Amino acid sequence: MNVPMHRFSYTHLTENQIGQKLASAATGPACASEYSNAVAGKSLKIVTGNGGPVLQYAFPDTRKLRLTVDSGSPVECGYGALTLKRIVFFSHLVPGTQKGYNVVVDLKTGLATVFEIWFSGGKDGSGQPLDAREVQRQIYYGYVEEAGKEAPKARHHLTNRVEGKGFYWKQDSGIETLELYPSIVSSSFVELTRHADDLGYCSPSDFVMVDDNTFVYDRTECEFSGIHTMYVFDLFVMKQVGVRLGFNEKDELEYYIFRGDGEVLGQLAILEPFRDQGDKIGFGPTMPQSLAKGGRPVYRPSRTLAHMTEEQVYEVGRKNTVLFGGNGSVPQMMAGHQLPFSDFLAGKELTVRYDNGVAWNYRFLDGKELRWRKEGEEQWHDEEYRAFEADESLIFFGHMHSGTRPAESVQIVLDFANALTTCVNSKMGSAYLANEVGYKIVFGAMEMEGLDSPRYIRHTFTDELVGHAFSWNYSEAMTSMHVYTTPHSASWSIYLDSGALGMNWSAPCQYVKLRDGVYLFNLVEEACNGVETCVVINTRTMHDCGFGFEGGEKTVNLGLVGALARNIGYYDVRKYLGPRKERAARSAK
Amino acid sequence: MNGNVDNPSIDAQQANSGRRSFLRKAGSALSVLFAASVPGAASEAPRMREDAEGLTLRVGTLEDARAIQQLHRLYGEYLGKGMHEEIIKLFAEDGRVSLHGGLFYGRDKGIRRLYAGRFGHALSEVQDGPVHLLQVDWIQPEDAVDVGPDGLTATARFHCLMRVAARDTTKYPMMDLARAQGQGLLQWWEHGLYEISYVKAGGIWKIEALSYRSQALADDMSGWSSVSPAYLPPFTKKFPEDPAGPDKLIFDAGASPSS
Repeated sequence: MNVPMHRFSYTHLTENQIGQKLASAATGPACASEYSNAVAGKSLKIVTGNGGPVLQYAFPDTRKLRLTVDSGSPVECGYGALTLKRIVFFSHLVPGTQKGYNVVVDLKTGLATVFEIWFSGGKDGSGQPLDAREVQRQIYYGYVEEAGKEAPKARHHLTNRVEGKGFYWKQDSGIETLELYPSIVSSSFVELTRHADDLGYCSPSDFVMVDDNTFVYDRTECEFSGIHTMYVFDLFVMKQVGVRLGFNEKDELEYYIFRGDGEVLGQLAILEPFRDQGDKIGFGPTMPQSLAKGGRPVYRPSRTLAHMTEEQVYEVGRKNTVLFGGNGSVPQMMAGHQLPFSDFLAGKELTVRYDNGVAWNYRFLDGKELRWRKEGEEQWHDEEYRAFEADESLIFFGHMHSGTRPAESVQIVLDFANALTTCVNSKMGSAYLANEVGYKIVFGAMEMEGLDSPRYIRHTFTDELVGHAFSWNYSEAMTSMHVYTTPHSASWSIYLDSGALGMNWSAPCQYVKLRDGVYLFNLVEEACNGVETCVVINTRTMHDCGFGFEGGEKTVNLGLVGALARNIGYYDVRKYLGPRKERAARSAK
Repeated sequence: MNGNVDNPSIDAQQANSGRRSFLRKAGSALSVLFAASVPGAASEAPRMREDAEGLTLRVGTLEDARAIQQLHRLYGEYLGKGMHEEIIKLFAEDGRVSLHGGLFYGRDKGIRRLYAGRFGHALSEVQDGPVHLLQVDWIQPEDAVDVGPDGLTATARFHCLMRVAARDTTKYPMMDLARAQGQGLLQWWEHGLYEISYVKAGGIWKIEALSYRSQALADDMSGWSSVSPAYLPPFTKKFPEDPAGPDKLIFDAGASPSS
């Protein structure tokens, strides 16, 4: 797949279409490995709590079962089972319905966790129907009832014990993924084999503890294909067994169970109080006390994104372009810890010459006003600007190109020590949306009296930040964590009140190395809200500075960004990322 | 809901007011009867009449003070439950409010803008009515009420201690993410001082002028250890530039007591 998931227009499959496609799954899930016969010829009665069902299973053989739910009539289903040490995992759909069950049974403790899964019928937090193709899930914790034996008191339960971990997995189907758990309700994943680009995505997830080294994980690719992935994994032997269910970008049903081998790639710091083991998720106080079946908080930015026309965005910008917070009139939530403005450029004249042939002359009148013109142009343009000294004699400044259509801004690094410059040239509108920022990054050299301009050396794209996780405290009211997931994407999460990380989301981005430990990071929240965050990150001071550029229904805004960072941890993911052939060659060694 | 008819608390004030009138009349009648029936009492009658009238006045004043305290408790209760329309009814028609550097004039103009407009949006997503978990818990530790000699005007100072929760409605992507996981709620403790003047019209006490100053704030998460002198940013725009803004700006109000 070479269309990024966030740009792919997934079909709105109807309930009827889904029903027809599920008919082929009546025989149970496919599997590249041998099916387990662990439950063949046996019966299991699984009793669950919290309003969950009693499931009575009889397994005549390795592919067929008979299920009775509560006091209902028995129904024949195709199934597939796999084992992971003393864990039996099996999955099946219920013919004639759009639902099924994924079941994890611990043969030693007798405890069982049941994921009821279904298509068609999900609703979002406001009660609006969700895409029928999005797999819903409800988790029930229970046990296997044995005649004459008292029910165990313990249950599997939610946990934060795997929060912060990152994995590489390779399934028996050959599918490779990177899966990062920076949160207790969400996860990031990178499809190494399914997708042409190394982009990270985020999905709502559950994390269930079976025992100290065995856990259950699931994710549903909400806002994308709606595919559900669920597996049990064992941290002692780094193996997984699980299931993938849903409709891919070709609307083909994928329903298979898999085995996989993995590797732990790192561990981020867990910031909850020590007494917090994550068995309860502390959402914020406005979250409803009880959620409907299948309900969970899900960030759905593409459902809420307003699609504006080019004309609308232009008119908004013409009437109301706000610069740098509008002298206090616009809250700068992202700039509570901004660096002081620098007047380093005041009085200087210079030219920035970029490798794409563009050159601009600059006259900096003072610390906040400048004149610029395209080289060869007679007319100078007056603009308000703001500048930060991000590192020693490394200046990062930004300004609008007033009067342009679409509205355009530049965020420019001036490296006076090396006479280098890098420009992020941004404009309202991308190939997809008029109210989404598009940009290009160009490298070049500075020309100024007293500077020797290099002809070959340039700032360069880098993956040095990839794998790192930093918290960013923008202001008293706003702290997030960035995981630099791949060389072309990053994810961000918001902390819950407990210090646990909550929902996260992801977007494509670019990283440029300016100096050792100093990077330009540019991210546009694509197909989300279209906002660009363009900052210089100094990993020595753990402080960033820069600009946010966005356009919406009320303003076009070139705002300020400034936050304090903390090192949260690192994932050793770089070895799995990059051009395919290089990776294949590494794997072969 | 009509504040003068259906509101039992307001009815109680009217009842108090009526009782005060009764006490005044009864006091006068009793003093006359007392003077006429006791031998040798004629010479003491004027003093006794004065005592009785004084007592009547004092009782009336106490009843008025109690009515005003009840009125302020209602103000706090309505504020806590987000019943902003009911708050508005507590004001005199030409009432005024001073808050955070802004002056709001007129019950049905500026005061309505402040309570139904600004508070209605800031403290809850609905315009009016109690909202679960979006509330102002009101503790009223101390008060001083001074009823005028005519029984028609009064002034009062009320300290209050509030637990305030307000939605952060900032339009920003990360706030959307926070709101989706049940956050985006600002919570703090606030100690403040009300200075209020009242006027009685038609036997009912109404707020003539209300001034509120925050004295100290403490973030709910970090608790009392983080208490600091209050500084809430003053209004910077008047109505109509700010649709829920004040009629007039004053720049000293709302400032930290130490400033």
